[in-house]
Amino acid sequence: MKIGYYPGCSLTSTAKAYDSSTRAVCDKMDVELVEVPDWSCCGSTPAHQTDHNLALALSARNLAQAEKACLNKVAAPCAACFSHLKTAAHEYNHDPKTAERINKIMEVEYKGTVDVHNLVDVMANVVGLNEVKNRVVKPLKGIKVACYYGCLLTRPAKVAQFDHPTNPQSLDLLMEALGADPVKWHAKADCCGASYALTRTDIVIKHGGHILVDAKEAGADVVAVACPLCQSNLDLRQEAIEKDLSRKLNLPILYFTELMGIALGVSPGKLGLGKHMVDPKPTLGAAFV
Amino acid sequence: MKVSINTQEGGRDFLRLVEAESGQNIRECYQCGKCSGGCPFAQTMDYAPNQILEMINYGLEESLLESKAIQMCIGCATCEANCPSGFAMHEVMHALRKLAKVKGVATREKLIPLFNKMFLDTVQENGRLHEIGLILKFNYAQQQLLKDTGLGPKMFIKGMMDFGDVFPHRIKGVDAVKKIFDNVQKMGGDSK
Repeated sequence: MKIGYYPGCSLTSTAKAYDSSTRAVCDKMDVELVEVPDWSCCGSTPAHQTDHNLALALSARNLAQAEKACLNKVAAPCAACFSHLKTAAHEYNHDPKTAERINKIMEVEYKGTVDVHNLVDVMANVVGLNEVKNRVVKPLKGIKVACYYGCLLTRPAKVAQFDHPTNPQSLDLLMEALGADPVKWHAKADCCGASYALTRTDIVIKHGGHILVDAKEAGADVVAVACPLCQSNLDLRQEAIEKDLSRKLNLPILYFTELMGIALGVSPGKLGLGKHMVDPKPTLGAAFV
Repeated sequence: MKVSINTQEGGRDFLRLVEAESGQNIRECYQCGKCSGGCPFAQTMDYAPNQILEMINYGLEESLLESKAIQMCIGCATCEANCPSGFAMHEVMHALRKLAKVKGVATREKLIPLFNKMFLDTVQENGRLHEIGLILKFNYAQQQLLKDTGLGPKMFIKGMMDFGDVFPHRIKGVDAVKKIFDNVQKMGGDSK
């Protein structure tokens, strides 16, 4: 299966482990990733908060680049990239006037032929859970995973068209297919504070604490994420969160593709498991890494 | 705090304007408060989301457009998922933010608009976000260069960042991205 790949800015910088594990896992699943030629930033939350046309055009440029390269499906691993590309795709499908206006802004004729998927959706629904299960060589037996979806993977539901907006299941089912034991917890679709890590670090520390304590109390060994910002807010800030709570958490925050990679037999070096503040190796144990 | 309720005939104009701009029927709100209960940022806001809806009904335009609250909404859409009427409060916040810009109202929240501008500056210049550059520039502008300095070296040691990340990566089609910024501005929009 061939699918367009939109890594997004973070995956080329602070979230390299998400990029390398995505590529390794897709390779194992016979999914050929074709990088969207000369892709640009989706504009993320700053464009969304600034101007609707700017946000749509910055995202739509990438869809137009994919269309030009004859890609009819694009996968975006980052939840924010996914949400913003999908919003543009949604507007092109539902509002011809907006489509015309955005094409004028881009000075490009984008016809609106590209479907946008997040990577959990690609694995759970496009590739399929059975297919994943069939290729597992090292089941993640006994590993309790808190599947963290955050906001933009599922919300706004009418745009994301993916899973339940506050009680999603896809990632839990995917972890089950890998042989892991997903825990039941409440904070799975709560907001981590996202880019406020820089502007309002205090909020991110507070939200992170709430999320991690909930995962810990549900008995999780690790947290699985599908967004570079969720990962960095829960991992990079975990020491500060622990200080704020006066409580040791020591919860590894892994991209779901890293856990998939282990189960599919990708060598740990290729996954980037060492590129996290909270070392997952002691928790996962020698059997896995 | 000065509060002036607009009881004039034109008092409903603001309500109609926000409804048109957001595409949401604000009059459907029956003040259950679930949007505020679920909002991850309500505690940092000067007015809670359900209060904002009521204030729109009362035409409290000035208080709303200069508020911190409308800048704090990050668009996580928890409000929409929780709303029994199924309407999108985050779209209302978005519309209010736009109206504040169009009308040139100075906001009480300074940091978030500044961060957004700096973020978009790097995108306009390179076509992509330069993460390290943005973090340094933002912390410098805040005169808090030492903030997070403990994290930087650790990120290098762990391999989360490397020397390739120090300089921005400029895409070939950067002119196409610049054109987007220019054209949005020409259309009277706000490119930053």
